[in-house]
Amino acid sequence: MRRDPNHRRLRLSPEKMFYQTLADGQTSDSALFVHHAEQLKAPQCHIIYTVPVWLVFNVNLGDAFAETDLIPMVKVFESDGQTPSAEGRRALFEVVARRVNVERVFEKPEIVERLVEMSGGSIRDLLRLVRFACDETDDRIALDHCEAPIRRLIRDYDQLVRDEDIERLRQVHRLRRVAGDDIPGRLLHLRLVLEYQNHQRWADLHPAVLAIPRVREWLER
Amino acid sequence: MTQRPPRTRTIGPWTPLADFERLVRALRRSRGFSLYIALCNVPLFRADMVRQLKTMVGRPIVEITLRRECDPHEAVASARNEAPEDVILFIYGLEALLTSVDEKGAREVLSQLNWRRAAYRRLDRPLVFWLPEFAVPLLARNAPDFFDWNSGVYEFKVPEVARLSMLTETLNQLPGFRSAEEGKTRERMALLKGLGDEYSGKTPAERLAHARIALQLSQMHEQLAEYQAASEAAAAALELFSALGDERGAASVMRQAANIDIRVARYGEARGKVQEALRVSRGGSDRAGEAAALHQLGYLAARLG
Repeated sequence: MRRDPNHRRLRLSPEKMFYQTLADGQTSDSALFVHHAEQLKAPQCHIIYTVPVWLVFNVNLGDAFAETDLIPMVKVFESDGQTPSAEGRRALFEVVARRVNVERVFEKPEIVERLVEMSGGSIRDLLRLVRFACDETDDRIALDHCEAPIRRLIRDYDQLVRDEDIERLRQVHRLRRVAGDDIPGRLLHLRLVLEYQNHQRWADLHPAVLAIPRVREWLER
Repeated sequence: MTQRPPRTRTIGPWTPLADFERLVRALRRSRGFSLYIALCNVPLFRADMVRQLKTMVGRPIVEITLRRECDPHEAVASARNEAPEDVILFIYGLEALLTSVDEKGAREVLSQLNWRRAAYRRLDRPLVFWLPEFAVPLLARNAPDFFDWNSGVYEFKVPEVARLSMLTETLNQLPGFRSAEEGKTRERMALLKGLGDEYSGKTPAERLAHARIALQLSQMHEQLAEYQAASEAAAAALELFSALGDERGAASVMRQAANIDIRVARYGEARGKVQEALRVSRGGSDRAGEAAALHQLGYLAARLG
């Protein structure tokens, strides 16, 4: 909860609601934001609700909420999945540079660039990769130290992928988009699939998911 | 002046054992809340790692063991409130709250972890959850928001040499387990299961270790009156011993399976199994096995009048 300096406006920013599938197959988020929208809007103050990105696409929030702003992943590739996005990468590099002195911590800026690419544009994963890289040495982080953080991130994502997800993951990778309700919200929620919104809406698998051997094997079939 | 903790060396190639050094660095640097997950299957080995971490990290470490029926957050919060400000909290036993025996309870625990993650953050201390391998995917998939806040998963595999000596030590201690209280028996079971998970089962020696562990687990489940689990462990042990061509081992499993039948008053089935064990023992000139089987048959005859 925040109060502005002149104490006249109250703004509520509830913490992210937890995601849970209910008995009727709905998720707690959709049940809350669709069926209880009026109650959510009832307090006479400014409220910013944060919802998972898939909810914006899968239910019509516009009916109940006047304004919906989307915070997508920062693109590290253009929508063709091949061409690096210089703008997105620069922005992500800046995210790191605002938190650590890149010159003092990393031997070369290319190391940060490699971590940026592997994050898929997810800020949380980028910072986690930086943190993992810091675990590697007491000295400056060298290019050699990149391998372990990346493998650790892949290992984390490997814990999240169920065998029954793989066919759907392949579908996203092939179509480069999320086909509405066909994709369970959890794939987006867990960032196994990343959505981007740069002029057009597109999606791909998280680079760490793409690097999981059993997923790669499936995609190559 | 406080003594500076020893410097860790820079890690070369990626190996799971290097995770010890990674965790040392992470803990030394952590300020406020951070969430680490340390993966270790064997409590004995974990104790050893923790002992070394305490020396290396140079900060107070408080250990908390979660018990069944406890509220994990309450237990952690209470330990944190009594600890010095720069403490690191090591949390054990979450897996005991995630057993398949109580699926509803496990779901509840995971769900609570998920939606109360901010409450853990408010503790404002580094938390290290020590978990066996099986519990990590459970946590990742069923408490994804909580897991997402992890600052690192660190894996502690027991080195092969230590693994063998731990197994021998544990199995040698087992004859006394029948008189042990339930808590001790469950601790031993956790240790054995952990050791079992450490063996990949690629070599005959590793498969033999799996078989011996399964047999011991069957006896422990029987001791705790968990007859279904005891039967399943015995069946697994029998399959492993038979595949290895280890007749002596197979006969001992048959006698164990008969013991379980006796416990649930299936005397006919028990007699069949002991007779088979007797045949196998005689065929393999296993005099001790033969004697044990005859003793069991005598007992059965007495029960059946």
